[in-house]
Formats: sequence, structure tokens, C-alpha cells
Amino acid sequence: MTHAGQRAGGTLPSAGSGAADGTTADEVLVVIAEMLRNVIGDDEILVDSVTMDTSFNDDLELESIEFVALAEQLQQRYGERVDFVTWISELELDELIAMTVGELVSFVARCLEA
Amino acid sequence: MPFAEARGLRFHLQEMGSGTPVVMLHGLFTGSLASWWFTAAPALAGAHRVRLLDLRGHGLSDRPADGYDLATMTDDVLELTADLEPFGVVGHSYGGLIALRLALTKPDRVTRLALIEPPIADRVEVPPRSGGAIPAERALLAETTIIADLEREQPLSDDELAAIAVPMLFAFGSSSWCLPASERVRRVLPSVSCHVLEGGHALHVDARREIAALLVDFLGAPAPALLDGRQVPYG
Repeated sequence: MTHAGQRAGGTLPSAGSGAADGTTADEVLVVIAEMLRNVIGDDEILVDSVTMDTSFNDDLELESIEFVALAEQLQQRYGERVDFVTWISELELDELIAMTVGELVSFVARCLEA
Repeated sequence: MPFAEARGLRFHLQEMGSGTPVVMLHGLFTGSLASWWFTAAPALAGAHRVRLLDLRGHGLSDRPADGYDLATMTDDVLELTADLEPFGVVGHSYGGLIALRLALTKPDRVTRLALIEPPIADRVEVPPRSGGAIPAERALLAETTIIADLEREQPLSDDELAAIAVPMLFAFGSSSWCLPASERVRRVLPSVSCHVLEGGHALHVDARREIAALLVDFLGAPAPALLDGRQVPYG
């Protein structure tokens, strides 16, 4: 989760009302994309879309502190159902650096299904 | 987002876990509370109320033009922890210097000090920096007095180091520019645990699980599953 330079291209999908309590992977993807819009700020996001293959580091160039902010928003939304901190602590650093949006989405969806 | 107003600034904080309090302080420039959030903090949260702070000018905290000297930043931390009972402190690099100053000036507030790569060799060293590796660092260098503040700082004396009464632990990276400080620790504080682990100045990253294991052991937590069964590398 390193940093900087110019973020690459497009717009994020919009979180519609149907995603408000969504627990499927597609619905969680929309929720996370909306959270990323809040964390990063609209004017910095130039990407066409956030997909399951989007990398936090290489594609979004998310700073580590922005990832913490994203995690906090996830915790606020999903509460104790999603133990984000423990999951992160069990990953190796190279896995963290290479993490895609899809990996986070899958983790959240698994927790919500449990 | 958890923010706190202190000393006319807005500071970003995060907490995890419950139990006896531990405050974790990051290093300067590229550091933020994420430095610990991604490394040792989750392991400590198994038995502690861990408070992570973004120091002034860093992470999501406000970035004032000045006040990056040890006295001012120590006062920031004191105010941001005033609601806690006496706490253990973990500090990386300059965060370790703040921790030492806390223990010297407010010994009643600090129970233990774990210092990872504190730059306490016989003179304060500020590695040359050009440009900045990340936007936050570039902004710090361009918009604040941080370098001048650091260059004015006087190193702790041997007497000051020896006067710190709380239990301490030091860890240094085998390839770090801070490594000479380990010699001073062993000379001035011969009975204090001083570890050299494989890694550089970002030792909490380079030796992430080893540092987590050391901290969990030192701060008095049961070893959680997070530590992956690794042995604490004393020595």
C-alpha cells in the first residue's frame, strides 16, 4: 500500500440503494467502491471503474493511511461481522502490497455469509 | 473517522483491542499510524487497548508549519493520551525519541518503553532527504520547519538515558543507519534488553512478526495465534 503519483483513469461505480445492505460479492464491490470514493476524494479518481482485479497499490496508488481509513469505514458499516484487523495481521506484507479489490471484497462477503 | 482536537490542531487516532493501554508512535516523514496498524498493533490488541496516533504533520492529522521539535510533539502526545491510565509506549525512530522524552518528563504516565530504531547515537543524525518519497513527505519538507526543528534538537545525555526508571526494550536493524545506537544502549544501559534483528530502519516492517513477538512478550500479553508460532528472537 504505497503511494503517490497520479492515480489512473475513470469513474467509480455508484452505490445504489440496492447495495445498502448487500452481502453478495457484487454488492460489496459497489459498497467498497463508494468508500474508496470517500477515502480518496472524487477529484483524484480517474479510473474507469473499480473492478475485482483493481490493485490498491499499483492501480489506485492508495496510501497506507487511506487503507486504514477504508478499513474503518468497513468496520463502521459491517461491525464485528468483519474482523478486518485480524485478517490483515495474518497476511504477509507482499500479499498486502499486491492486494486487489476483489480479495477484499471476497473476504468481506465470506464474513457476511458466515 | 476518529479525530481529536488538541493544542489547536486536529489529530487522527485509531484504537483497537482492550486491556491495559499501549500507545504506539510512528516515525517521521513516511510514517503514519498505518506503520503500526499494518505491523505489530493487531498482535498487541489481543491483550491491550492500543491507541495509534498520527503525529502532527503526518497521516490524516493536521500539518502545521512548525512545532516538529521533541518538546512540542511530546506535549501533543501527552494531551492525546490524557484520558488513559498510565500506559506502555512503543515508538519507532523519532516516535522512540518522543517516548523517551515522555518517560523523562512525565514518568508517572509511562509504564514501559519499547523503542524500535530510536536514533540515539551520540549525536542526532538526520539522514539526508531530497524531494520526498510520498506526497505527505514532500509536503512536510516543502511547507514546514521540520528539518530545521530536527537539526536544533540536542541528543539525550547518558545521564538522562540512565535516569529512565521504567522497563525498556530496544530493537535495531542489522543494516540500519541507527545500528550504532545499539552500542550506546549497551554501554549506558547494560541491563536493558537490546535486540539486533535482520532488517533496516523500517524494522517493524522488515522483521514484522519478530517485532510483534518481542512487543507482545515485553508488554505482557499472551501470545496470540497471530504470531504464527514463531519464537521470540532474543539476543
